[in-house]
Amino acid sequence: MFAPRTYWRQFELQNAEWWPVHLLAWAGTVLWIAIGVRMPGRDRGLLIRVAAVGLAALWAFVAFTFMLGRYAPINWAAPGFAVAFGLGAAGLALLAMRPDLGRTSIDHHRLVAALLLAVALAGYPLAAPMSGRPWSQAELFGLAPDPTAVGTLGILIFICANGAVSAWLLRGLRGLAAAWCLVSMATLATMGAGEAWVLGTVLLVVLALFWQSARKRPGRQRRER
Amino acid sequence: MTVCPVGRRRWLAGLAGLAAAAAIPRPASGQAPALLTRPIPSSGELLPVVGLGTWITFNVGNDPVARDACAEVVSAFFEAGGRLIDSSPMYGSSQATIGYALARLGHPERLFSAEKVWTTGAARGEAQLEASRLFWGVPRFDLVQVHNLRDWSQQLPQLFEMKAAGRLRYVGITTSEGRRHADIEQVMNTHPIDFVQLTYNPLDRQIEQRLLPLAQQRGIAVLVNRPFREGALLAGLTRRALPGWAAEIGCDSWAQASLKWIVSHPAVTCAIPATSKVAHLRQNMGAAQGPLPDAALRARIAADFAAG
Repeated sequence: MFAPRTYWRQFELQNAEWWPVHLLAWAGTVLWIAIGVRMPGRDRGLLIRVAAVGLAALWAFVAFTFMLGRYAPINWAAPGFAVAFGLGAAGLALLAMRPDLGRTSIDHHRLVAALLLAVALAGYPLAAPMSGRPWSQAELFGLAPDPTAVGTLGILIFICANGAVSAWLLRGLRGLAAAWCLVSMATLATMGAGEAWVLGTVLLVVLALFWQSARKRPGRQRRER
Repeated sequence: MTVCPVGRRRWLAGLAGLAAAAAIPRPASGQAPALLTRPIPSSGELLPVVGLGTWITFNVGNDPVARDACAEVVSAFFEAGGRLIDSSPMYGSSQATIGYALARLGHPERLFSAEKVWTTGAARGEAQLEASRLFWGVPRFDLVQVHNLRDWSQQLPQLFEMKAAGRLRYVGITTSEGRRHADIEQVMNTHPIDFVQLTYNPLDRQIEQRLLPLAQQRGIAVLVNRPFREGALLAGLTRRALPGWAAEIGCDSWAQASLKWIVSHPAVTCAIPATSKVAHLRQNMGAAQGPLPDAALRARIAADFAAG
């Protein structure tokens, strides 16, 4: 176990060491969204593959720099978390190679995806000062696991797959990101941190979304290229 | 009569002007303050009744600022006359933090190193102890304990062998939060351990019934963990004025009162509160000086803690 101040210091040290990587991740994601809104349907497959590659890089980065570099010295479970994030990176890289991906046409899926991205990119940085911590301890998308997982969930909800293999890969990656949110929520709840509520809400929304989708099967989601 | 309320926060506010500089001072050579001591029954070696635990507080990872702060705590600990520092492989980076502090302080001779083995299998236990020793940077440990009785049937025989070979000096076992007392009692009755580490404070008093008397009967030293229930014991008392008995025993805080209550039990050898703050460390060490409560006062103190 570790003290809450030790936990939050790891993000401060991570941010200081890897500045300005998070700016690249943030700017890249915003650019991706802006391009995606304007891009013709036939070209969106490429955009989705770019997103998957980018996320794979971020998951590998978080696995190596945060899980092994920062978290492992204070949490003996962190090497296992690093393996999970490494598997996530590999899964996202595989996803990028799939030819049958597209953008979901279900409006409320797109809405949830947008909300999760907003939480990851804007909500998490704000959580630090709102919780009485300095800006330097903010959890940042691309550097810290929680906003990275939440943002990834958002993008993965935005994506849909036509083939069975891609569909299973997508479900597995969503499950992995959600599993991390659950693990982190438990840690934060033990520390009495308000961010536990953020992850709990994210998980409830995602669960409700996919529960509803599962009830509407066996029909497949309409895929839009 | 009530003593003016001095919770930890107000006490610390008074020390605000004494914030430490970046340099970590070595313990002053020469005489440390005279602390209350108890003998280790199996050898007669004296230990101050307050030591230093490192659970959570010293698990600071690769944070250079936090490690230096912990080194300051260790420095203040030795300056105050402390000896016993307790850790475990279970405590994350605490061992590395201790090693960092000891290296910065030139490995004070007064150190009494207390470690734990926390794994399964004798071979793994030996390897884990060697890794711990390298973290601390000591030639050998004074005390090695089987942490939370983990695989004790394999670890204890090996520890006794290592003791016979001079690779460690004392053997012990630990548990916390009142768990597995029946197993602890069995080991105390059947094995020649030197130490047992147990949870004991004014609210957690289970061990008074059987384990403390057994320790006295069997000549086993008692280390006390969780003297403050990781802060929970004191959380509800910070705004409450210390009763008049505090002045009788020279206490200026509820933390000192808890420690004095603990170490006043004749079976207790040493309490090991953990802290990452020099001010709290000095407060804790203050409990090893001055008068201790007698049985009647212990009862009053326990009642006041329970009412808090």
